[in-house]
Amino acid sequence: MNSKEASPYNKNNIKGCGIGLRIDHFDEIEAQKPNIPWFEILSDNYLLEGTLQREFLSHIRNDYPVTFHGVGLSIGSTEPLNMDYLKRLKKLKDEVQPAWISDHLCWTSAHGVVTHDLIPLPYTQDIVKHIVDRILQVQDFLGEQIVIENVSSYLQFKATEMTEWDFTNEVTSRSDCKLLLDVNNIYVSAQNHKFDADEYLVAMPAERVAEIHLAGYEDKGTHLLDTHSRPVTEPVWDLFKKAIEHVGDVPVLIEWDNDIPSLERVIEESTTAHEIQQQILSSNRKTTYGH
Amino acid sequence: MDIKSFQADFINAIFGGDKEPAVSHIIGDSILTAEQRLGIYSGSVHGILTQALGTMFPVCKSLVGDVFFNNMCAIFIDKNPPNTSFFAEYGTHFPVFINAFEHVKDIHYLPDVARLEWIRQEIWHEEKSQLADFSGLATLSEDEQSKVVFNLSKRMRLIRSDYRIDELWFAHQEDSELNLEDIEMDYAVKLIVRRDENTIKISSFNETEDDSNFWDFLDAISEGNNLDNLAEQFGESLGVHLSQGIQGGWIERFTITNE
Ligand SMILES: [Fe+2]
Repeated sequence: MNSKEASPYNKNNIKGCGIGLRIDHFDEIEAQKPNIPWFEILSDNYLLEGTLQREFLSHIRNDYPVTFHGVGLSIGSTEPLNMDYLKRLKKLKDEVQPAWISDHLCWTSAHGVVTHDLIPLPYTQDIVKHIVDRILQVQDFLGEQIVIENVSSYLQFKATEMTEWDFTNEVTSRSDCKLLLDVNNIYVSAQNHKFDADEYLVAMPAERVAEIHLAGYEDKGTHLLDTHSRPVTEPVWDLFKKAIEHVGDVPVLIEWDNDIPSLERVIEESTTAHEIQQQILSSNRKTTYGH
Repeated sequence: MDIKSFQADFINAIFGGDKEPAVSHIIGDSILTAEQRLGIYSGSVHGILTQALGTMFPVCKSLVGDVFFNNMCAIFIDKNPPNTSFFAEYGTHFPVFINAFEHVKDIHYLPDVARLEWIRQEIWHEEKSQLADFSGLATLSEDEQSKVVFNLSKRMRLIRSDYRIDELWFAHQEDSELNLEDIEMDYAVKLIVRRDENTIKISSFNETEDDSNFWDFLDAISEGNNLDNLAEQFGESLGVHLSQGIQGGWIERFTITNE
């Protein structure tokens, strides 16, 4: 058995519904070691060495499997890949051994400025090629497939030539990366841009989906804002059920980044997700046996 | 559409620059115009950065109030778009900005409070360094000894203020029994801010007490003075200060310079 397979942190250990690890809950997690299948950490917050966060992470990692989630890759940027960022990420990966590393299908920085926000791209063949090249470089550098997430968006470009789902399909298949399907983001963008969320969902390459995200948005009247500050809404739970039908038994994660409630409340949300997931999976099994 | 120039235009627009070049590429509709759609991003980027600054400078925020703080951040952010992926590094220029900010000129101590809060941020992110073996110091020749320069712990900073910023900071902590009204603000302090594993201690050495000389000694070290200069400045107290500094972990290593 090689050492990678022997590690308790390989991807086979990411199962069920995890939650995003937030600094607000550190003490409680350390003290109570709650029954949570895995944690997703915001990797950008742990890239500086010697920090308190880094120390907490080393404790968490001893008790729970971990995945990495970042915004700093800026895969859609026109500036060269940030090698300092990537080197730090690789070092942290070697130290913590996450099951996988994910980031977003968008850009966050350009021309030396880091926005820390997820900014969409025009969906064109040129951009597909640009992003595929960069994902290949990143995968080459990290020595593994990465996982790319669809983002919420509030604007569309005149230059766009294809749907977001065609764009996502092309990027993931040509770069042979995995997909992090954020169901809330599909719903938010569908509402903001008046497209059919179901059509988007069923067009997603089920075999590439490594993980599903769920979160809560805020209704601003003119648009939905992906704030990760609320419980998951009913229409997103409905879309989630369809997502499980489409992709099957995939790990699910609850993201809660603003107006963060108690750990107990976040766990409650992940339990709801788990129950819905199990319900869909078991009724699917019955249907399969019935035929 | 040239995506490279669009990204430059977009960055420029969300940090307070001309919006038109970026807006011209965005689709507007009856619900939101192209400019309003771009505005959503400008708002969320400012929101993310304002929140980060508020977390790093909570006492400053509380001293000026939330609304004022947010407006001040908006101006700072447009003047200083982040060039780092790490929130922990964003804010380096905030104390200098506050110092020059006209509208807070009357709160004389605010820039020093900002400096203190930033120092705390910095040392949270300093790596722990290995303590050097100081026994080697005794084996050096007299000539070499005179050229020795000491290094203070990276997890420690010295700060001097004309105001009682240490008590002001303590008064803002959750479990503090100190009342803001009881603080005599016009009182000069010399502070050592030091991280000890998972806590940061702020110790004050006030001007009138004897131990203020020890603060000056550490300050002279941080200025890069060699052992010769230190002996000249601190005379008889040098030995005591040096062993106190080394034993207390304030001084972590030494090097021999050729100056
Ligand atoms: Fe997400």
